[in-house]
Amino acid sequence: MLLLAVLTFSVQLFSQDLSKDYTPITSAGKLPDDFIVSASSKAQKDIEALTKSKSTADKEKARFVISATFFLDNVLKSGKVLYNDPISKYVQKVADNIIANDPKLKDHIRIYVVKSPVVNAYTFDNGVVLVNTGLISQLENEAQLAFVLCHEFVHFKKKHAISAHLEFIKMDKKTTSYNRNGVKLLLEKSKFNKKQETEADVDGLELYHKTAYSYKSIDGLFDVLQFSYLPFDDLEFDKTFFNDTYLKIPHDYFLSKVKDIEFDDDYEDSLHTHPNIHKRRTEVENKIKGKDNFGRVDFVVSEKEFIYVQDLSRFETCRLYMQELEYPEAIYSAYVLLKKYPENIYLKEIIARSLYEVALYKSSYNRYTYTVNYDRGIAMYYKKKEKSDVEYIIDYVDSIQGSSQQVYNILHKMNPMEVSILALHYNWKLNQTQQYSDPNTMAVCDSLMHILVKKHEFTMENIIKAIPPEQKPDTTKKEVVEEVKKNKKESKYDKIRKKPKTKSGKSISNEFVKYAFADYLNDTKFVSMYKAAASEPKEKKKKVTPKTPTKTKPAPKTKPSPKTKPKKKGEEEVEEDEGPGDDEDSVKIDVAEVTDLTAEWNAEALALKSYKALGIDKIVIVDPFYMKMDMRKKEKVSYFSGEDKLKEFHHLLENNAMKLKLEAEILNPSMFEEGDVNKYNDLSFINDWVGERLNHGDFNQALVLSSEYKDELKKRFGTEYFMWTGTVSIREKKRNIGTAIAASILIYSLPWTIPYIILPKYNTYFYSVLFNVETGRIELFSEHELDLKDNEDLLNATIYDTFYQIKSSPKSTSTPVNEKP
Amino acid sequence: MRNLKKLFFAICCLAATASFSQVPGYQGKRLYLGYTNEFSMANVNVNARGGTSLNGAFNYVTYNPYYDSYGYTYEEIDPKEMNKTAFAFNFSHKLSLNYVTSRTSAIAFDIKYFKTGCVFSAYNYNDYDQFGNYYSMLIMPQFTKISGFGMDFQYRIFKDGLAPFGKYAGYYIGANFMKGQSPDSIYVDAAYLALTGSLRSGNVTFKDVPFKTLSLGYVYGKQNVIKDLFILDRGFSIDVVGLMVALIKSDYTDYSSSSYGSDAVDGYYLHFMKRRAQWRNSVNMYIGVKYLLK
Repeated sequence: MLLLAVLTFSVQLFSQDLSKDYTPITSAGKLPDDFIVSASSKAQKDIEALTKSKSTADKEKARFVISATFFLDNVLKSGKVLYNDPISKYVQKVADNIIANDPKLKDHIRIYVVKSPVVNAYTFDNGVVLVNTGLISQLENEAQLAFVLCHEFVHFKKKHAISAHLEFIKMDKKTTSYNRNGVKLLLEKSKFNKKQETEADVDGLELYHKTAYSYKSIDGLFDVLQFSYLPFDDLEFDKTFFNDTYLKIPHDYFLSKVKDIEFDDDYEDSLHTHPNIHKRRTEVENKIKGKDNFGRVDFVVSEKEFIYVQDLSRFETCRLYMQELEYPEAIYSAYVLLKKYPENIYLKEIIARSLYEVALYKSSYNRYTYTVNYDRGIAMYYKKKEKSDVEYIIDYVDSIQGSSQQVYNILHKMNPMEVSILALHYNWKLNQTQQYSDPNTMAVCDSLMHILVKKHEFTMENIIKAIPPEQKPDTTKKEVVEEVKKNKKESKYDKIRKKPKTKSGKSISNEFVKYAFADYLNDTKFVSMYKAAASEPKEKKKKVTPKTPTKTKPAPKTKPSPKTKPKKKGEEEVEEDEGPGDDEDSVKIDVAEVTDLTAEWNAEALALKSYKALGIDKIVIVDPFYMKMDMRKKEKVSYFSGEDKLKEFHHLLENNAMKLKLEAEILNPSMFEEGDVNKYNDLSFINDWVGERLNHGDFNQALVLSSEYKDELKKRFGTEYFMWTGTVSIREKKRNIGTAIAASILIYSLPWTIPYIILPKYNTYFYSVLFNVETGRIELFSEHELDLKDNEDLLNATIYDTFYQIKSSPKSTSTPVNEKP
Repeated sequence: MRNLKKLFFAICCLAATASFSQVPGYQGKRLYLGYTNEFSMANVNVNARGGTSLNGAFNYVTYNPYYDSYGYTYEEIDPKEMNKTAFAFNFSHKLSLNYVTSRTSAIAFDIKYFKTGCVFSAYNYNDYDQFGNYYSMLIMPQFTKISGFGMDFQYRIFKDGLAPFGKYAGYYIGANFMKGQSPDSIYVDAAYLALTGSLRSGNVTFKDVPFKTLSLGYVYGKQNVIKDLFILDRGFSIDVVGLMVALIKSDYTDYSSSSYGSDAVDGYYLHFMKRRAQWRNSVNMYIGVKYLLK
């Protein structure tokens, strides 16, 4: 019976079989009070507990409590925070070990886990401790987690947040406004912060002493912090990882030696909020010197559970990297996890999608700016391709330390066609593994095939059905780093200290792409996908009349550029000459053939903002936003009235939707009740989706990868249209001296100027963005900026206008869908 | 009147046509009707030359053709009366009908009654009496108020795309049918003259002089909605024609010499009244409350 109970418990606890797949973590059970009680109620309660009088100091405390409470409330309701999930439960168990004998901590501490790749944990003075999944993924053992929690609990006990705030106010008062942002003041503040951090370390040890955790593990924690910018492990990247019988990536694409990981822990920290690692380590080491470590352990709760929870965090980290468009990090992290879970389909999907996105950005991200230079009075036009954020990240390759630099290097060195080939090769392999059953993978393969055929003029006829010639063996000596074996634990930090060295061998020519698909020539599905892409007509390039281009300074005197020869029929396109522009990446273009890329882009933006008639019957409104500000006050944000206004805004959304017979379900976390865990999880995924979508900016083609659950969401809500909407209302300071003077001169304008002087000035900004989660397109972007107060009538007017555009159907055939405003 | 009917019919047709377009209005309501009060301040001295007017100017001049001589009778006039500055409002009371035609535009049709607040300046009137004697006399200001009816048609463009809500700018065209007064004749009481030797009892009779003016100008304003039922509209209008009249004509004066002959006199005063009416209406502020119909 006992065994059965343990097994059942284990199954429930370790509910995911990570060897096969990964399902993103969700929250479970009733929503805690922190999530459902209004921020204003929480703030009022904390203010009553903290302040006794209406003195200036207490007013400052109240102001701080209000802003901190509302800030935390926004974090908790963002969907990024988990509760009752396996990670949170585990962290709570570790915390329980520490606070068991401390009633104050026991009554106040609540721990939640935040989905973030950043290695961090933070505490609020009301007892909420947030621990990032990024931190869990990097720790070596449970003892290190325990020390982190002890550190955070001291911040809570000593009320460090509010005391720092009050201290900084005192410091600001002592300096003039001129010096307030000066270095001296920053140094003072930084010094104060560091003092608090040292206190948290030292007093944290007092809590730590009372546990059974090992002292020896604490030193490793400082390595975790120092190397937090690196992936959670450092494994040599296998150069044959992408290879198979026919695809052989040449050695040229790999670095002979990756950049060494820097060891400097005694860095300059005068402007840091924390002492440098060396100082912290030394301080703690001095405190634990001579302490008996006998009987102390690395794991008190469960080593197995720690490993499971850490793996969950690492899987989550891969997913979060994808959302942040950090594809090289996502690929490398998934690669590391594949060493442990070689059959996990989710990790392969991470790599597959990342390669796809990189291929897409490299091949299809066509944003240009163009400039005019004047050389001896003659205007010369140049266009320059803009880099996408993805390309910026990849081009950061020279700064990357450790083994992950290889991944950056491959993606950096490969041209767009090569990356597309690699991506399609990997994705098709995955497709075969999934037995062609995953429509997302199929869609990715189809998209890649189109890119290859349309943009890179790929043809199946060019494929060489043969095994590529072997590369010359790598004859140089190399020290092999020991791989992580299941039974032998070696942390990332042990490997860092080993510092592998390799030298490159010679490579064959870079024609590996011609062999890449040899294996798929007999795959009828692959061939028919190619044929479908090849049979589609090519897109015609649009010509738009140019706007007045931006003028740059006249070009320095240079040699005249060679004339371009007129092209003969059948002649291959010659690359355009680079002109003597200010930038060597600029390409000279013919005046007669100037395509106004900016005008085209502006036209797209205008089309986005133009009046719509979408004919949509149902939408989901996600997390409506409201903020009120008063620029005349010291605390600019009016939190309480903003919260009240949000409720009013929610009701106005409902009323206006009803008037227009538009079905609108509102996912407003401020109105959640304790049983709304499903809504909370839905909110979390939808916010993940939109966060990633916004990171892609106006690059509509990019696939939004947090779309694992979009089909479920569509089924649950009955629509693929999700809207984000909000209002910001600002009451301005009004300087009416000029108006008063004018009024005194022009007496006749008094009936106009008197109200202008007396009545306050408002600015209200209202926005709505409607996404189609199926296609990723923005179907409607509506914004209004009015210098009027945010009265009910104004909100009604803006909301009604937006809903009207969503609900009203396009006119008859003679009228286009996008009407002119 | 016939033209007014045609204009009104055209507006209704336009409104009917516009009602089939996809325009939200305010919560679906696009038609609103109400009252607007338009006002401007009387902004000149009663005597435009202000402070440099006549002091004890002659009132009456008589000419005896038999003797070929002129006689002068002075009546002292308080200079303060001549030079005082009048602060008053010219009011227009409008019945306004507005209709939202698109997200950014609306049309308005107003029928108004207006009256100048400030009487016009005193001016000199010259004429012959029934006996053929020539007189020149100063007409006191209280007889020359101008009033009348008018109608405006406005086209408003709402900058925020939320018509009828928010700030707007636009154009208007209007026709005004006014009437003023012009002196008709001078009657001298011969018996009184014979008895007293004074012409003080000389009377001037007045007649109504109707005239029309055209307004063409700009409007700038703001509309708010109150309780989802009413629209509060306020702004100001500038009559370009009126301003041009005031600025371009340089012979604007309250006191000027006359010419002989009644017809010439009529035309002369008519000219003044028309110009002054336009000048007075050139810059107006307004405030109105309208009810959202449907």
